[in-house]
Amino acid sequence: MFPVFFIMLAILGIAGIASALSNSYKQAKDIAIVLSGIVLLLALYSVFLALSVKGFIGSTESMAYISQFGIYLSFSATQFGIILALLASIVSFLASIAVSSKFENSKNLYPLIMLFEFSAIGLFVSANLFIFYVFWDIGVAASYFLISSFGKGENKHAANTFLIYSIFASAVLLFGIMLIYFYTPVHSFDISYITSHSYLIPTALQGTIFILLFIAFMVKMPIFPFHSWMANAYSEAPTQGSMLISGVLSKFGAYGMLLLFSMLTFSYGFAKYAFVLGSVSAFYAAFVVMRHKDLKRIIAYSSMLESGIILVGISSLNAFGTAGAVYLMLAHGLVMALMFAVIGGIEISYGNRNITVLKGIVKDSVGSAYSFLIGTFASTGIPLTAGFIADVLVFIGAINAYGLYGAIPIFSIMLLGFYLYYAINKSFLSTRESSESIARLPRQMAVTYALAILAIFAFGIFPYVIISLFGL
Amino acid sequence: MLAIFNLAVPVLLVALIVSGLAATMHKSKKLSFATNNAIFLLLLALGIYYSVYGSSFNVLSLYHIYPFSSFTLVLFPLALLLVNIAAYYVEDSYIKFGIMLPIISVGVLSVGLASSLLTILVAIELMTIPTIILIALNGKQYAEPAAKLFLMAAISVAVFAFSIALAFPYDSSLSLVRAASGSTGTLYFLILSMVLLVASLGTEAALFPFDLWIPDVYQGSPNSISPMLAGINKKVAFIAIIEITFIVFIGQKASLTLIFGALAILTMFFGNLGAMVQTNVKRMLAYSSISQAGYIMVGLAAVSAFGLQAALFQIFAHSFMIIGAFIIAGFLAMEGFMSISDYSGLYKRSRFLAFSLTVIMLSMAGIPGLIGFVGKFLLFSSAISSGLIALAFIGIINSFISIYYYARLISNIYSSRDHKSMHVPREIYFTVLLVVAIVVFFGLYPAPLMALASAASSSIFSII
Amino acid sequence: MLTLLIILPLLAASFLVLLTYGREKYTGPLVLAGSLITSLMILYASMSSFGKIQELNWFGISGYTIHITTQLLPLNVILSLLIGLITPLIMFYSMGYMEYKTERPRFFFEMGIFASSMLLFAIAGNFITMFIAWEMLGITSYLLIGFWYKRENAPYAARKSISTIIIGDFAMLAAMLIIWSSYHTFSFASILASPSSLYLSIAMFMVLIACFTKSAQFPFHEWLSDAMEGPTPVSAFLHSSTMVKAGVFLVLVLFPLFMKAGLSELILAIGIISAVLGASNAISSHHVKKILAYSTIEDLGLMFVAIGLHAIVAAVLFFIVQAFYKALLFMSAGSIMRANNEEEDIYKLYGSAKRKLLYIPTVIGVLSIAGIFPLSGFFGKAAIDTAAASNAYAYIILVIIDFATSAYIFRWLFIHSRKPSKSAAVDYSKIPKSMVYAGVIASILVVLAAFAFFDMGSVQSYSDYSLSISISVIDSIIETAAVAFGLVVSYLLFMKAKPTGEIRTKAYYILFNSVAINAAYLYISKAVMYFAEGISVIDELIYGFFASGGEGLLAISDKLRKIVTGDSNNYLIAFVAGIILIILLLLV
Repeated sequence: MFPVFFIMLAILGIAGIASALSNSYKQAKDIAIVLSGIVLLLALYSVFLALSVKGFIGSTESMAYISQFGIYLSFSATQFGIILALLASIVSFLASIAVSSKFENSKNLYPLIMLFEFSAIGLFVSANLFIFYVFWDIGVAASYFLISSFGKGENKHAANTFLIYSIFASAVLLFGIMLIYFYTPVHSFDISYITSHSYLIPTALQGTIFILLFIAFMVKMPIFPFHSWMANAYSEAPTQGSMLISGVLSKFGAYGMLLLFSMLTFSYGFAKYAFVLGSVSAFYAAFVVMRHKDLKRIIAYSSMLESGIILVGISSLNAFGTAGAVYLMLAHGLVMALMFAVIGGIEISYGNRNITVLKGIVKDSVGSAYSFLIGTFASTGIPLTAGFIADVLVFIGAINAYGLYGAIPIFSIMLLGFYLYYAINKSFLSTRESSESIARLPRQMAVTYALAILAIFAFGIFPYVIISLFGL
Repeated sequence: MLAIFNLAVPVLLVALIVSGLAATMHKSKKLSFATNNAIFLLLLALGIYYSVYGSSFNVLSLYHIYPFSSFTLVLFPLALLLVNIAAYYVEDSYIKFGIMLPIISVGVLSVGLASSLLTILVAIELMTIPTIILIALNGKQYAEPAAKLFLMAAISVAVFAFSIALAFPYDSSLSLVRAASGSTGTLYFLILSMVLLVASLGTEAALFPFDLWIPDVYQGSPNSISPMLAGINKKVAFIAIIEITFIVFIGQKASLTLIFGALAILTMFFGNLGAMVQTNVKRMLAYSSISQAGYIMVGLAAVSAFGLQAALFQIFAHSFMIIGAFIIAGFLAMEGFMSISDYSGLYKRSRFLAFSLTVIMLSMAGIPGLIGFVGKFLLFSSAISSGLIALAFIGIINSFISIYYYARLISNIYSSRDHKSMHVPREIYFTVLLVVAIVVFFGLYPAPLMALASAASSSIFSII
Repeated sequence: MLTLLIILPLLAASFLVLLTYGREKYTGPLVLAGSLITSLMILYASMSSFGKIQELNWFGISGYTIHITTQLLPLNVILSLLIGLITPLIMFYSMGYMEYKTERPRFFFEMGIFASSMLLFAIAGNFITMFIAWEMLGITSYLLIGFWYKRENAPYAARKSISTIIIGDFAMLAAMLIIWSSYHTFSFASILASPSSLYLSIAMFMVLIACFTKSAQFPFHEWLSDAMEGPTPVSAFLHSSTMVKAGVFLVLVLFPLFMKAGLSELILAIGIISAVLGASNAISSHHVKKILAYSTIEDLGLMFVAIGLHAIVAAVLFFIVQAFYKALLFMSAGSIMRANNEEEDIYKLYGSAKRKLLYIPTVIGVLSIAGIFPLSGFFGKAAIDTAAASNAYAYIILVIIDFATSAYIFRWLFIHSRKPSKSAAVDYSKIPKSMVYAGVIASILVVLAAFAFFDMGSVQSYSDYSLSISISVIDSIIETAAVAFGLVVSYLLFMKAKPTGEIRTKAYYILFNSVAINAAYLYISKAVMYFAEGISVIDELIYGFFASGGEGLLAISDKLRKIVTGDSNNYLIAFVAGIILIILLLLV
């Protein structure tokens, strides 16, 4: 079997350098689309391998990095990692196709998108914590530049806020990982080794490590109360940046959380607090969203809500909750990509994204309007969209683990639904003066919408492809 | 044959002095530049040769060649080479540089090779005085940094001498190895000597609170000298600290950990917090180099072979990163770009400089895949493996605070503004490219450098 | 035959419709053809697969499999046949209604999906299948109610409906997941056979809330009258066989579980309250379609009353007959509005008596809803009245409601059949033919529906509870008397007195209480918004807290910058101080 992950990363590295060296915006974009398309095909191929080839799941590709400490560049095909790598490649591909409003169309965007995809795929298939951390940091750096380099001034503040939170998260993450390394009996970063030997770490220390990593992942997901960076970052980034950061970067935290809960035995005692935290975070986001008028912020908080639900799923510590959390990561990533693309499209058309100003979008910009509606359906978990499967699995898991309390977070999604429909009412349905002229939606955006919607429905109607891959 | 080969180092040092003296006669820029470079390259080759074969012998009872000194013999010639090449473009009249640099180099190289305390003392003087002269020679406006450096150097040397006097009254040879045998037990004068030693060398090595002069002098120095001050002189002081404390005072492990740990914490915070609000790039880099000194102290505080290895790795890494950064900053300062806001849109002026500066800044900030990350990772790991968990945590937090100001500079570089492009001279191009190559190569493949540092550190511990 | 396949023709036709942009004349016939094929397949399936439960694997996890299940038990057959009859009729009506309008493809697409969802709901055999249909119904009804989004009130009405329905959606989701966690199955059949538990009671309560939202019962009933902003065919469809019937139908299907959970009193009480509210608003409303909408709330309330009284066969009967006459009346209302330039205020509608082909079916519908023998409405009402005979309070209220129904429906008829004044532009010839003929067909169905009463035996044999349906003579007489009284009152007030609709007495405000209920909704949403405001203040505090941390660091940094002034004295002081400090550190 050829080393599919190394090849993906190598292609992305080449894509990043090639698009950085290219001469024009268009050339950079074309390179990004073609190469991230190839990576997407490879990701699909790896899913195919995982489904069809026995022993592909768990197979490792390895290369020495710092051999003195047994640190290897090793990538392992885990059932969750492959799915998230697929998500990352889909969202990055969509981001390469999408366009922003004029100001933000710089060719610098594409090297950063490629760098980001590089980090995301590397992180999701990493087999040891060191590599996990390495790609984590590269992802943070790429996102920071995605926010800070394209914008009109406000974005600097947003980027700094993002950076401060991320720095904090990275610091505690690195520290936690180092502690794990030095307190496992055979010093090791290997995730599977740590998973099977974590009980040998003294409980008190395990608690420290757990809290450190938990905080780091909380910041990235984001979970209340470490979420303040999110709204600014999502709303100030260019369209593609928002798609990637909300769709994929927040999954870094979620995936880390998943690893953390499966890795340390301490999680059994801690899970109920995580459940409460996730629920609180979800309701909190549902209420905060009601005071926002900026579409990007609205979607940002809805993304925070879903992160809370993902944490609820993970903290159930059973097959349903875990599968649901991963499925929600997938669904939510796609929905966020769609939603932010749509908002980008609306911004191109109207130069605005404030729901009190926007009116009658469905009349002038049918594609954007219906795509947003479908996004709303998917994020409120309407059946046949990927979100529904995820919600069902997560909450079955939560109810199994926490009884009736497990059902309570469901209603946070309901609150979100109220407000999303209010927003649609306000800006999509109401009529507007026909004298105002609007810009035409570029064809690339329409393609982006269509592909994202296709993916959302595909994963909603044929869930068995992904779920049989879980092997749960 | 072998004996002659063993004498290669002193011969080359003499050659350096000859080159310097010759330059006073022939006054040819090119000749002086070429000879200096040739000698540095030969020294580098020698250093690599010694390192690869793990040679260990005494030369003229003055120098001691062993893996540790071989390590310095790899590091410093390469760093001096870079400084020299950059100065060839940056200096208006290279010739005075061509005269002074060989003499400075002899001092720099002698510290690592020294087998006796006296050699170290003299070598440091040999390094510092010509540096001061070089600064002062550049013109009136440089009188102030020169005077400040002179003041600090004078105090430092005086205290250093006093410290030697306290610890080594019984041995006329002042040999490092022999001194070690007499320094066990809790003798107050011994501890005092240790403290004074750290204080005196800490002045040059940029340890808080002995480093308040650093920002002023680094910022105020000529653009050709700042890279040397930060990349070479500072590292020499560290090499001296390592040699003396890890050979002579190794019996005082607990005290060493305490002193180094405390200094590490103070220095890191001072450097990082100080850098956050700076607007001048060179001054910011000065603060950043202070904070890097703090990280190196974390490794030293571990007082273990691993910690020392990490510290040496980071000394090597930071030496080149800061040289590269100061060369770029110096070049841009010559073009009139001083403050961080001047750097905005640098991307449009020169993609090469923008990209290189980005790589160097990211490396200093500790972004994975670059040499700075490996260094910091090793440093904090060594602290944890020695049980200094709190110190490691503070170090990590600090290392992430630093990202704030590095990122601020980088995001400024790429902010979209239209500017006409700028010509980068080939000397600058070459040196910066070499630095970036080192940063990326050892970031992706740190094994050889780690092996080098590992051999050096274990040789220090096995010398007694 | 695979039961699921019956949806296919309609669904396929709905999607094909999207290709007819620019060739709109094919749109209507295409969907009509699709719905007719579906109707035939329903007929075939209800014979060939009768009583069968079919399972298709959807996905499996952790040893459990989630199925798409369909069943064709008697109740499912009844509802699917009802849909099979009414869908083509509505589509036929819509062809006329949407004549010359460019939005035709979108309209028929949404209608088609809506009808298919309802059909899926009708044959759903487990919670997950039912929930898929349930949610699809919700969102398609949202789209249809907001169809005329350019109108002032349509978006608001659409949002109101979805906001109400969404409460039920999530209650339903929670309920079905709780049930799964207890029984590890979604299948209706298995759950009906399972023992009772506390979890079941809570879950069934949530299911009931969901059913109340869908079937527009108190306190979730106000969305239904606002839903009149949608096109008239949508109203006709929504109120007859789809959407609002979903809640009642689910309660009927899961009836034993509600009994186990001890919820029958609640069902009865909510049913009565809703019926009273519906009737009182119907008497006082001025909106030609809203009167019918409130009437639907009342009808659904009566069905819940019957269920609450354990008379499920009576409920099923009423369920069937109501579908036909409500479809008919809405069609008539649409036609009359078309003739009066889409006027909606009933006092500004005139002359429906002019066009006999329109008027006679309308009168049949009115007589049926009023409950006059031998039309179908009579059997439904009398059966419920008979079932209520044991409960005096319920019985009295039901009789009053019978009276009220008769009063408001004749009011409705009398007012718009007045002769037009000279100024009014009334043109009954411009009503498209298909709208008129659809009404005629519907009126025939209304008449025929009376026979359903005599065929209720087939339902009985498949239910465990309340196996009988009967109509006692006394109850019939009382019912007829109440209806007659209502007719007289209505005639005196609204035919003789030539009302203008300008009178606003206190009684009017008590009757027309939808204003108050809407105000209550508003207060609740305001309260939520205030709460959200509070939370977002906390949000800003958190942001400020972390931001001030960052600013604090910068402030320290700034202080440091000021300390390092470049004064050489400071260097020396710091040097000495440093040495002293280290020594102190070592000594301590």
